[in-house]
Amino acid sequence: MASTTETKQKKMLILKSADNDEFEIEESVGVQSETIKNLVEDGFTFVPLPNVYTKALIKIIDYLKKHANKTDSNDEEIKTFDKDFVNTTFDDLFELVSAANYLHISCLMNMLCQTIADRIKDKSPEAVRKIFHINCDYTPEEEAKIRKANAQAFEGQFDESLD
Amino acid sequence: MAATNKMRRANKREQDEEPISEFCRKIEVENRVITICMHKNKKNNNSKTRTTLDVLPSCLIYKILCYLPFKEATQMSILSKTWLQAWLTHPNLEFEFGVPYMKIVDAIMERYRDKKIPIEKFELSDSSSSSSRGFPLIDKWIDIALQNGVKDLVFKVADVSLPIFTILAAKCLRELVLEGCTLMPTGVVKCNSLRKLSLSYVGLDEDMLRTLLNSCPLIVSLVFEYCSGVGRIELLNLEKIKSVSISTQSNLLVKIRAPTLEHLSYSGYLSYGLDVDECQNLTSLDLSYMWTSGGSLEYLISRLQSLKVLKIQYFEGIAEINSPNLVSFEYIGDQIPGLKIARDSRKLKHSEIVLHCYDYLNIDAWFCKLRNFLSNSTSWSQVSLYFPKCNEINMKDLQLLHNRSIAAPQVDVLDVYIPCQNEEYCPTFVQALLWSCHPTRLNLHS
Repeated sequence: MASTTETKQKKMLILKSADNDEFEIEESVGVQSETIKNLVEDGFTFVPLPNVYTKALIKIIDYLKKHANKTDSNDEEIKTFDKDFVNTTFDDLFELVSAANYLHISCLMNMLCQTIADRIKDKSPEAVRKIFHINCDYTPEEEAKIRKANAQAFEGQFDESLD
Repeated sequence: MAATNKMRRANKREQDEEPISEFCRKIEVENRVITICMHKNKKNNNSKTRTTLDVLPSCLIYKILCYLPFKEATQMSILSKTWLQAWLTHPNLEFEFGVPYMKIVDAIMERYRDKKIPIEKFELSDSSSSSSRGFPLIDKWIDIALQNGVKDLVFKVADVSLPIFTILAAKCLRELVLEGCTLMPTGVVKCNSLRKLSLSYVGLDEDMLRTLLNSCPLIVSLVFEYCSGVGRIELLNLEKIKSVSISTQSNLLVKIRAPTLEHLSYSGYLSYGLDVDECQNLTSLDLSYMWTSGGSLEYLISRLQSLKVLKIQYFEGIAEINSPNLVSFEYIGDQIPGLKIARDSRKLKHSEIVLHCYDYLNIDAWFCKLRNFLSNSTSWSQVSLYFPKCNEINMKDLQLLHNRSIAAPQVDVLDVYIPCQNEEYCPTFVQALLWSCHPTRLNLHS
């Protein structure tokens, strides 16, 4: 019961996702996002997030809650959480990175960008194009010229997998 | 705020378009203006199910690209014009030095200079170990990097003379890592922005080192490895220093007075002992491959009241560790050490020993010695043993060699690594392991 009364005293915020779902979180959890912090400082307690969809928002609220309770002793626990957090598909990572960017959560941005970079690092250009759904806008001649201009970087073997 | 973001993005695009069209002109690629749309902006907002994003906006592609090493980022420039555009302003330039690529590197550096593209990191390493003595382009590239606000400079090029004080005169330098080069002794400057200084195989003398350390008084981390021209290191006035790592193959005289120091690691000759004092915040000490006369290190360790983590590698010269606040102790070596941990080390939570056994002629005596050593200290959380092969052990001889007055050792986890061809362990070998270590848990790895 003690915890319930405690929650009531805490300042709460409502976040509304792009698909119109509403989430109530503690203000202290939310303000890790610079975007939310700015709105809170302007007196808002209801925060519509037209660029963040429910699926990504649930994961990000999880992340913010975990990181709001950071202490000296749960360092390992948070590391494990972070590792699980980024262990997902590329499409999910792209959704999350867009959301984290919009919400301005810098530690999450670092982690997501680093994860995506690490996972595409050794892949072939063809594989990365598929992963990012890129339509190549070079003509074959242009592509050959760019390869030639930076020949050094295109030596060696690539990984063709898409995961 | 969304509006300001949009403006920022538009400005960024204008900024970027100039270098990209320039680059495209140089390599004769037709430059088309690319528009990137977020798929969700076009979608009907009412629909709850949504297909995935087609593309990330270019600002996010730029951010992701920044986390790739330069070589891999260069590979990504082939993906599409958006990626090429992002690559053209990549802030971390890392080049491997080699004659065939000098023109490419020079062209890139000139582009960064002409377009004033910010550089965060500039790294030049010499993988081919081709002599680059007196190579004029290096000076030019350093100038460009410094002009463009470089924060991290890494040089791993042999036989190059660096204008070190010109480099330190740059106001925003944060990390300087030098390997193999020599330093030109001209001028005196203060570089208060520098946080990390790393010198490996660098040609310099004691005067030079002293001047250098005086020039960057606010460094947090210092690495000093195998700089043969120096016989004496004195770290006296570094107000912010937290971590010092010294490796040497010759005799060094080391004097450290640093109240802020937290981590010290030392590897190599040390006949004069470590003169470390006033380091009341030193919590972690790492000693390896040392040659020193006994006594002085025990004294040092016993005086470091704040010491929590101690790691000793391939160094048998310590007899007793008496450090009341020690939390973690680790020993790695190929000889069973003579050391013993004082019994009143109550705070010790983690104690680990890793041994590589090569002494196959006297394996019985080896097991006996191991048992005696392990029972010398209260308990061990982890013992890891590496053997080249599995032998039959004469348990009777073992019992005879054994001094019965010594208590049985206490080991939580024993990990044993043996390359085992047919997956079979000699039963007496396992018996000898259990007898010498008394583990609560035994893991056999082959």
